Amino acid sequence: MPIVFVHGVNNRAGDEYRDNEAGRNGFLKAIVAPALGLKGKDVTIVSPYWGGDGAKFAWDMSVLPDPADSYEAFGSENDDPLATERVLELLAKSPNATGDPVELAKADFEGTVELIYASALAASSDQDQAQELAASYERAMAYATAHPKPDWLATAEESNFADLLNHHVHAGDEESFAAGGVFDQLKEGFSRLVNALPAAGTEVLGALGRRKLNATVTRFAGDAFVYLSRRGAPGSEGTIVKLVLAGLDEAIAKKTAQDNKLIVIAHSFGGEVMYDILTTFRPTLQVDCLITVGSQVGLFEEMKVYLASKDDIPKHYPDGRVPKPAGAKRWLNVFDMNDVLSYRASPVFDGVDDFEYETGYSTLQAHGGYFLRPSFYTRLAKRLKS
Amino acid sequence: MSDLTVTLNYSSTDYTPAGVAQQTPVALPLKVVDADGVVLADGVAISSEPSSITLPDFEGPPFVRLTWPSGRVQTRRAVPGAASTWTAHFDDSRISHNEWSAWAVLRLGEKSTFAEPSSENDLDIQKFDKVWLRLWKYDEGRWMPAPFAPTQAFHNRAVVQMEFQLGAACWLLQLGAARVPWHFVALPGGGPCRVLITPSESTDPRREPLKVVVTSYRRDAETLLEFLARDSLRAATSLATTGPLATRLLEEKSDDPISAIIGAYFLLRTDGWRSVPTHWFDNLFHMFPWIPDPAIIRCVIALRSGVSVGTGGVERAVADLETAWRRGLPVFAEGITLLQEAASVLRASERAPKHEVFESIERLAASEAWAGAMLSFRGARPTIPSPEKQLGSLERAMDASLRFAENQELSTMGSAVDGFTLLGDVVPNFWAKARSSSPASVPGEKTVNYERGPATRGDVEAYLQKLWEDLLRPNSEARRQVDQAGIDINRLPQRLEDAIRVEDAVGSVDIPGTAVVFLAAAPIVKKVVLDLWKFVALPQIRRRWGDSALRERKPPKTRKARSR
Amino acid sequence: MTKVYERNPLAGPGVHVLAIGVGDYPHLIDGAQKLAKMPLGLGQLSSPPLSLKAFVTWCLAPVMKAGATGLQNDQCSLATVEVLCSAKGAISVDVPGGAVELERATRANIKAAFTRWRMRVCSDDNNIGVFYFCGHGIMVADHYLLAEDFGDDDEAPWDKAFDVSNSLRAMERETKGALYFLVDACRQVSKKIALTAGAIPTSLMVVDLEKAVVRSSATLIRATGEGKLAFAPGGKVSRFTDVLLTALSGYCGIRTSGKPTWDVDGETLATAVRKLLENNNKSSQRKQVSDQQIGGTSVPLLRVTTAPMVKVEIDLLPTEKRAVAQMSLTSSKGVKFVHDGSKGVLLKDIPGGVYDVSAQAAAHEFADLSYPEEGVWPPVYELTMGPAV
Repeated sequence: MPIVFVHGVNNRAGDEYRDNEAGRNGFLKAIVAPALGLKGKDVTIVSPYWGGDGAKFAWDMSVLPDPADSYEAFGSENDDPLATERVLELLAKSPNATGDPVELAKADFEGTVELIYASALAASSDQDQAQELAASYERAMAYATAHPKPDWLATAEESNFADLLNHHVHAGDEESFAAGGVFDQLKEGFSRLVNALPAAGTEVLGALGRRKLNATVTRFAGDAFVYLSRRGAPGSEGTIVKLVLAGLDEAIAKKTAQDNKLIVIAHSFGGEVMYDILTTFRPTLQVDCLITVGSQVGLFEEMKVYLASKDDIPKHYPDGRVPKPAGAKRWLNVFDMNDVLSYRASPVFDGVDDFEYETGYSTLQAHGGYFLRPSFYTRLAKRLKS
Repeated sequence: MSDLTVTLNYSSTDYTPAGVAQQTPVALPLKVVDADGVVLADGVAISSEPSSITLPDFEGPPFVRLTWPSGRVQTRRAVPGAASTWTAHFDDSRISHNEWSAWAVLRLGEKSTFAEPSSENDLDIQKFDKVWLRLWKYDEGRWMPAPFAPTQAFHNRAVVQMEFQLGAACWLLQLGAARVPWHFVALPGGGPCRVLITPSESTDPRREPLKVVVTSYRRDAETLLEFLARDSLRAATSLATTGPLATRLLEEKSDDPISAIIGAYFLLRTDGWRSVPTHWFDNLFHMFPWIPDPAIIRCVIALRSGVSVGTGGVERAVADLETAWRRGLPVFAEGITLLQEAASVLRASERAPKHEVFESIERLAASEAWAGAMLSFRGARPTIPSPEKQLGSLERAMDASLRFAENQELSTMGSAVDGFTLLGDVVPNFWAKARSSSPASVPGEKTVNYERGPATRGDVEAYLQKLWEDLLRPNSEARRQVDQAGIDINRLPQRLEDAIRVEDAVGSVDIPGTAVVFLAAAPIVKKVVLDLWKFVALPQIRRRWGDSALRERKPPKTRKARSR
Repeated sequence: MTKVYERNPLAGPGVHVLAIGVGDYPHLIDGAQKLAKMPLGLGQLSSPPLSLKAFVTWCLAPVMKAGATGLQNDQCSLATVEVLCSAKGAISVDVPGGAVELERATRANIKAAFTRWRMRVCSDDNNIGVFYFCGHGIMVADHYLLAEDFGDDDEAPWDKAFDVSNSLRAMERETKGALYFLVDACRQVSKKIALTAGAIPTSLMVVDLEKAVVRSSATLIRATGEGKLAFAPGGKVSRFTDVLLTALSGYCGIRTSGKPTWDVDGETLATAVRKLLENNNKSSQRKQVSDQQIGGTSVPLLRVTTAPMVKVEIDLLPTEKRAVAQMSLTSSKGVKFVHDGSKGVLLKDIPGGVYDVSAQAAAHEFADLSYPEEGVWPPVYELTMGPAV
């Protein structure tokens, strides 16, 4: 039962892409796949990589007013720098998350648990471990909901908070004669949070967040221009389309007579690529569920830049919408009001289900944090089931 | 009393590449038991000569239990001969028919499907083509990447095998990928070496995704060590005390350090070291300064003998440990166990000087992985073993190597990214057809053999021809069945001859066989063709000609691993 | 009270047992006292006291009732049993003199008991020493086990743990007899400790470097492989102890022609434990493996007069054909066991040996299946016949 993940902007080859992928895949398998009627362990996830054919910047975006966008100054020198960066980005969107994590937990236990798991997810480089973490996260949130102020919180310290959390979340498990499972991941995640929290809410971090957003928007624009000018036509597809089609074919090849569902999750610009594929490049493709996340599909149809776009829809605004692609049996579009690069789709398309992922956090979205937040997966799963 | 003669014909495991001197015979331990399992005798079966075993008086026929290093056991009833004699014969009908890889089957898992050559497994080494490999050599006190240059390489659908010629030094093969933890496997230096890599079939939670099997063509000695690594001391003792191996292991003057080391490890484990003169271990230490194992052995023997504290005995033991560490890393896993024993008792003793080597050894021991008898451990570099699982593609590995080189200012020591290669790139440079008794396999083709039954070859060909014609018609029943099975018809080859070929094949004694060959094509296309055969064509053929039409060919004693 | 049994007369070769079970850790999570600064994610355990009790009960069974299955060795019978237990409630063991309440397994008590046990094991060159532990464990390169009071001192957290690996190495230099160390604890590698220079727990006895290794045989069987966990169903005997006792209760043993008994030595026991655990893993989501280290010559822990049994599992595929099958095993001596496939998979305990295994369908729904001369050896035999056509 394959899932195809089509990435969006900001994905460039190397550790960042792959580590992101491992953690994301683990959570997709553990949390989202069951909502689609799939067994996590049986799910294959194919992630075609097209970032190498996106926009290239000859001077490495030197034209940005202030190109410095490194988080190196923050975090512990012993920690994985990518993981630290992801945690700092999360905190940049969480203005209430400051100071001491234990005190934070006393004020908002559920929110702090989410942050700890997000911090652990940030360092996931092993899909199987990420899957375990995801399963643990679901239990942790159930525990936090049932115990908004657990007794042990009163005497917890930084040195034993993760130990206590892990113990109580897994209290019903088969006994093990050591703390195994996700304990090490949680311990590291908590430690990362301890190191990062002092920077949260500071102007320095805020400014860094803004610069990163600039870079993201710039890269997005670049990828859009490159794609639109080089996507090709049916029969002579451009490289990006070919790469994504190859990924879809690989996933289709893994279908069996008994298990023949194809799920596509497209993030950001990946949504536009998928829309073009479904409407022009491979209109016979059958996708059982298309999920676009932080995507601009609706916007691009407003601008009529798809090959299949028709100028006569809408005939009389605001009535008249474009039918969803015939090959997409179900289409869920996830957007976030705080994400400057995410858009609704239902005003433009018939048959699409818009879902607002409410973070309630600051406006400094770096557009890409959806898959770094464990709660995104649980909310998406809930929406898919309903 | 009676005499039992056991013969072992495992000729399919004898394949050696050109340029390699005759390898030592296969030797496997055996037990002779009665019908209740009472042990009548222990012994060894050797491929180069029959084994003769004297049996005490007993009732009923004797049975011979032959054990492979993997733990797999074969049982044969001995056949009576004239005048209180018995014979038992073991042959290689149970071993993979790819002769160039048959040698490894004895050391793959106990339930390995390779030991049932007619059973299909879904192992696919091509899925691991992005696994990166790196060869390391210990040279003048430093671990350096070495050119990855196997002298030969083979592969089939499930296995990649490489031959190396390694100089007298310590060598490590490193593997890693985005989903393969980075780890090292030691390769024995000082001569030819063969490495086989195949996806692991084990359900052991400690397994690595890929199984690596190594030989330096000392099959009998390596088999002994494989049993030792699994704490099968009875089997190891049978091998070490019987036949030509027993003599070879303890030769006074030997130009074969690897066999001598194996012998020494056996002695240490079974306490036989006490009856061997100390100078034998000293000779080993001095004659082969490029291997650490003799230094480890000498250190542990000193410690187990009791050291004289006042006269520098402890200091000498620490010095031997440090010498071992300076010489590189042990070839065999037994070496890590002994290193840890020595380091641990010395570290805990107030009488031993503190030495940084103790922590280094502890870190190595904590990072140990499993590769049978060969040393194996996890980490990014030989000098930085780590119990943490590190994962990452070739790019990440190269990046890590570059960063290390920058930190260490290693600009004068060659390119930091030398020596990397991908598993998928190993084989295209070399290609050799395996000597095999199964239908010739051409790269990319897949063949399935069937007992023919009521449907002849002509029947099957005619059916397939009609099926293909029907598939061209959009509203045909064939199209409906294909759609229902979820098969993407657009991926099927236009012509049947590009998709499937039917041949006569060798069947069992009185039933002719049919081979259905799925022709070389892109993996995606081949999958579609296989699905069409499995879910549409074969069920239809059986509906038409009966359940016994085209039964997949299996030998009488089929054993399948249970899965729950 | 720690010594719960002593043979009368004591003189002569004997098996001396020291058994420790720790489930109550007051300074770990949910403990009754101050939580340790670094609890390592560890909490209370319900299984170790029960596992300990099961083990000790098995040891004492032949003493409590003649002929009962337990520690049986006519050449080296059970001589002493010393027990320490830390549990939330009182744990007592039935012994010949009546039930006794057990002393707590604090580090000090464990060390004192170990010293007494050592002296007993060393009293005769043909003694066998058995050390059993069930509780929390952690691994760097050596294996560390946690006493009840682990974590009571934040300044010296490792003072209340002990290095069992070096404890064995020390004992190897003290006794000429045989040693069996059975450790039912995790070997999860603590990265924090492994990658930093953490304090190292001491062993229960210092390794005297001036002494030679003199033991005849050493067997160390651990509940799990390196870096892995040991499990226990809540409120029950742990998986490892359960299969250990199964193996020891008639599911392993080797008899050599001319000898009267089936002997269980370290290698035989370790192999049986491993295979039984593997068999259990089929029905468990979390898999557990065992590990062992064996050296020296073979010195049997048990010598029993009954042949070991084999847990047989035979299936036939496809399932619908199994429903109409008659499955049978026939020994080379003609003893036959028959099973009606409509009742499911064949699950039976039978004596080991060589059997012809076959399956037939009464109404010829499939061709006969035959597997002649199958070696059915302890502890487990599995076969899936078929496919039946």
